[in-house]
Amino acid sequence: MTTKLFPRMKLYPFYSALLAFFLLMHSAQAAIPGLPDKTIRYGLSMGALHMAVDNPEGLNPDPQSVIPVNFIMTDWLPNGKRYWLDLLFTEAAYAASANQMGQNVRYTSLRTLLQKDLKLTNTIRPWIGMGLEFSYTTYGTRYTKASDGFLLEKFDDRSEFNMGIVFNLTTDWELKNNWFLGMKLEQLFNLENNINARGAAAYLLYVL
Amino acid sequence: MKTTEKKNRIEESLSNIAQYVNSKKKSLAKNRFTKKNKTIFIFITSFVFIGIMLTLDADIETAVKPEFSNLDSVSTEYFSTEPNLVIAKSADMENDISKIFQTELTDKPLPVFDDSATYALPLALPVNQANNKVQHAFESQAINSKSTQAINSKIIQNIPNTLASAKKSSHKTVELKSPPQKPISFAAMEKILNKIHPSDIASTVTKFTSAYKAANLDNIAGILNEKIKTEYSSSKTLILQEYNKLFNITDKRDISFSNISWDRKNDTAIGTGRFEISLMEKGRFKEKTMMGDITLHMTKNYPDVSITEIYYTYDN
Repeated sequence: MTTKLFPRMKLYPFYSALLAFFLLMHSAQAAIPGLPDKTIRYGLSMGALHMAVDNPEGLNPDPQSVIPVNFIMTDWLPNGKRYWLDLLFTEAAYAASANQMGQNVRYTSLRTLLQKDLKLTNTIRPWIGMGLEFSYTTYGTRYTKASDGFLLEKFDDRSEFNMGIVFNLTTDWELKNNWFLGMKLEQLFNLENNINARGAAAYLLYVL
Repeated sequence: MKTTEKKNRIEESLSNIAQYVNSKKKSLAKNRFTKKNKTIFIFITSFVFIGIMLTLDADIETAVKPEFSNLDSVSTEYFSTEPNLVIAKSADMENDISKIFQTELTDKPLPVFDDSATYALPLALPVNQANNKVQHAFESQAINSKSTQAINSKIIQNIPNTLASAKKSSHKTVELKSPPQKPISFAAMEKILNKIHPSDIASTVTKFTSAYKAANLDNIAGILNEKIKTEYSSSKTLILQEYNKLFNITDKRDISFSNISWDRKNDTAIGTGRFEISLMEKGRFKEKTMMGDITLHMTKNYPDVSITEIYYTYDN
């Protein structure tokens, strides 16, 4: 089992455009006095994602822990809830064995969640979220090998768009000058043969 | 001789004195009699006068006086023969109408009356314009069913003793001093009612700040005009959505206005001045304060006063 802490960044044009859209999107001027003009928070998170691959052929490898690149965007909704977007990219290399399929996985995920405020105290105010995950994953170099190192079987590469259900729990604290520090826990269940994952991360947000 | 003459003179003098004394006595007695008569006369006159007054009081005079100096003038000057029209030709009349409704005409909402009764009231006081005479309302044969309804309705009963007492009075036709004047139209009355007052502005501002502080969206919706405009939106729905968002994303909020100078004209008022907002956004620990210039437009559509336009800029 190997852990790839710093995956190679290969942002495709689609994700570059999406990122640019998020960065350029600003709140419109409010029509009423008092409503903050800028409420969208952008940020990055740093943490571990424990990923398990669910192969259609079986032979699932042991889960891998990786550190994904995670871009976050969140803002209020009119009803006092907030949406939470995670744009996540990571790579993981799974080791092969006789009964585990080795493969290199490149996982790109967009998660959209609706979060509800759980006010425990004035300083601890977690948000519980639930939403959908849309991902594009490529599985390459798929094979099994014998205990002596010889190739047993080679499988075709595959790539898939998938959808999953994601839950998260976040809480953040205001630092100063519109900076927020937070923590999040998340759990992803795929709906098809794809990635199941759970993770924990710290994040930094800024009101842009 | 001298003695006789002296005696005669003395007797004459005594006689004169006696006459003088008698005349004085008579004079005094006469005066006493006159005073007594006067007193009796005054007493009798007073009793008669009081009796007359009491009789009149019981009839109509005192019943009418508390509200109107003359019932007939009221019938012609304050109420039109046309339905829907209530006439106020001057400030005095306005005051009298206010008296009737026991409220200030322009500053406080009128009590809600039964419409048919209100409109029927003029019909209860018909004017015979042809010969410039007013027939007493309750003697008129022309009283229609609506009038009867009005007489029996609350509005009539609520006008203290006035019409009820008049109902008892005898047949009477009164000459008018002046011909009936043209009634003021409903539009003119509406203009009077819709005139915006400082108290209207103050109460609206207070309602707005209270609703803002209490996050009461319903009250905010009531204060904002249907055609409200701001620099960034002219849809009440969208603006209310923003208020809803503001109330939902803040734990507490407050707004205050200062140095607002109001320019009032008829039913509109425009105020320009300063505002200060302090709010605590959910998830933040520090209160945020914002200040700036604000312009508010208000309009009065009796009895409601609403905000029609809001423009603001924050200080840099």
